[in-house]
Amino acid sequence: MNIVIPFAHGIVGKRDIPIPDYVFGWAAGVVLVLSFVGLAVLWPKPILQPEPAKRLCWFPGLLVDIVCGFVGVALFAVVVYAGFAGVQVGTANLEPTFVYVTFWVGLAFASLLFGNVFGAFNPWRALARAVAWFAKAVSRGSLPEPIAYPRWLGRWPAALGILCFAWLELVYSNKDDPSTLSVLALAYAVIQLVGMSIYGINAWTDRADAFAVYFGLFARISAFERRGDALYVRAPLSSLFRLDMVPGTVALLCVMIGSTSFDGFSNGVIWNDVAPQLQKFFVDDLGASLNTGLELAFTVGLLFMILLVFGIYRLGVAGMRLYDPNRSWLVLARRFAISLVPISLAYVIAHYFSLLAYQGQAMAALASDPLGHGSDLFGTATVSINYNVVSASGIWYVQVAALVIGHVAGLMVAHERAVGDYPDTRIAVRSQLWMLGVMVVFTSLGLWILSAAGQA
Amino acid sequence: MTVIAHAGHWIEGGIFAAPVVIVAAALAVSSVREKRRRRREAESSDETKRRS
Repeated sequence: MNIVIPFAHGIVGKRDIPIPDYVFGWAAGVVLVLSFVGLAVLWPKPILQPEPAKRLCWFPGLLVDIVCGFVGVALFAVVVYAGFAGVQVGTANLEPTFVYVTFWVGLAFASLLFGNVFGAFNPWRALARAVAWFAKAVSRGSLPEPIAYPRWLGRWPAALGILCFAWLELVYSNKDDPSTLSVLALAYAVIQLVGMSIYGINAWTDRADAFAVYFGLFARISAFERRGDALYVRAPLSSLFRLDMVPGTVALLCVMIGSTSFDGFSNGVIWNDVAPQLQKFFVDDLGASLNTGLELAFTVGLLFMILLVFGIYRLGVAGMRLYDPNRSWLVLARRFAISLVPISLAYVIAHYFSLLAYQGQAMAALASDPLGHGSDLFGTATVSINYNVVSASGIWYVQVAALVIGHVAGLMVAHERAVGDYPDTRIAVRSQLWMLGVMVVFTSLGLWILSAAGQA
Repeated sequence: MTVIAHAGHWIEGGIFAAPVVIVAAALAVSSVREKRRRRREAESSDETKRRS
């Protein structure tokens, strides 16, 4: 097999662009300011909140649920089995590439394009539904009602789940070990099944299943939605306004943006300066081993980046309170947090597009030889990665475009929320000056991180 | 120190932050104006109450 280093986000070659990177950052700032002015002038009333949608066609809902659910469970079983039974080499085993590229990155892209794809394939949800259906049939419908999901718990379990996954991907030194991934995947599935059995399948999936919540948020940006047995097309972003802003939602979004930012930042020169010094502190002063010291240093970096993102958003909300002093910052933070969803997706696209474009191709070979034992199930075991599929300059343009479009979309969502909340359009526009500031900071930060990672 | 050894990267980061600095300055000015406007409004409403 001809597979290169996995998950090397930075392997994009040398860019051949005659304009300095920071000019793109400045141009992005100008685009955001012009977008803000355009919104202020041309968007005086809510457009997205009535959620305009049009029925496209009939959708075989039950059949899709059964088939996709079965495929999801089968895929989960194959991947976990590959982790235990296959060679314990990250590059030669199906599981690491499947988890970190196909699942984590590929499904984010799929959610944007096609809607809630993960909802159909979610293996633990499918399993729970099958068990519930069977139990109901056996007990003739006399199953006990689930306990009401506590409102205070909100999306905190999802935030914690995404934080743990980010730690696994970005900090843990043994992240590529297939059997470790299998154990963690099974542990996660057990937690989900227990949670669903206590609080009900839908209540748990909508708030506590980290991946269902994560991909579900991105799916709300999509133009497609399934409602019962019909497929609808709607205005992109409009479904975000239906999101119930329960506790933990702001934290979840800060974890999503902060962890992706840290992924890029940790590939840059500055972090390469700082990390060894932090590691030295943990090793020399606290007696940690070299490996643990490095993991602790990366943990500090990850948490710092998440707190930085929260701090920027918190500052924006504090500024907004100047124009709306009657509502607490927490109410405003929750009310406008949906504007962070497009930003989070923009960060994912910008940071992981190269990973999907290059490492995603490795799935062709790995699908034919999932265990790394030399099999060739589909005749694709010798397919290698084509690095000419997109150039380094092409990736940079995609990254810039994703960040700019994502932040303009964030600005649109915040503006739509403001014109819906404030009867006076002038107040609505003025309150969003601070959100413009937040968007400019996030855009500049994102482009700086990507630029630094490309130079490292 | 190694952190200083790569000062060029920190400086380049500063150049990236130019739009942030401009927007921050604009926000600071608009906040001060808003606070003054509110103060003036509060004072004029107090004045009206006193007269009535």
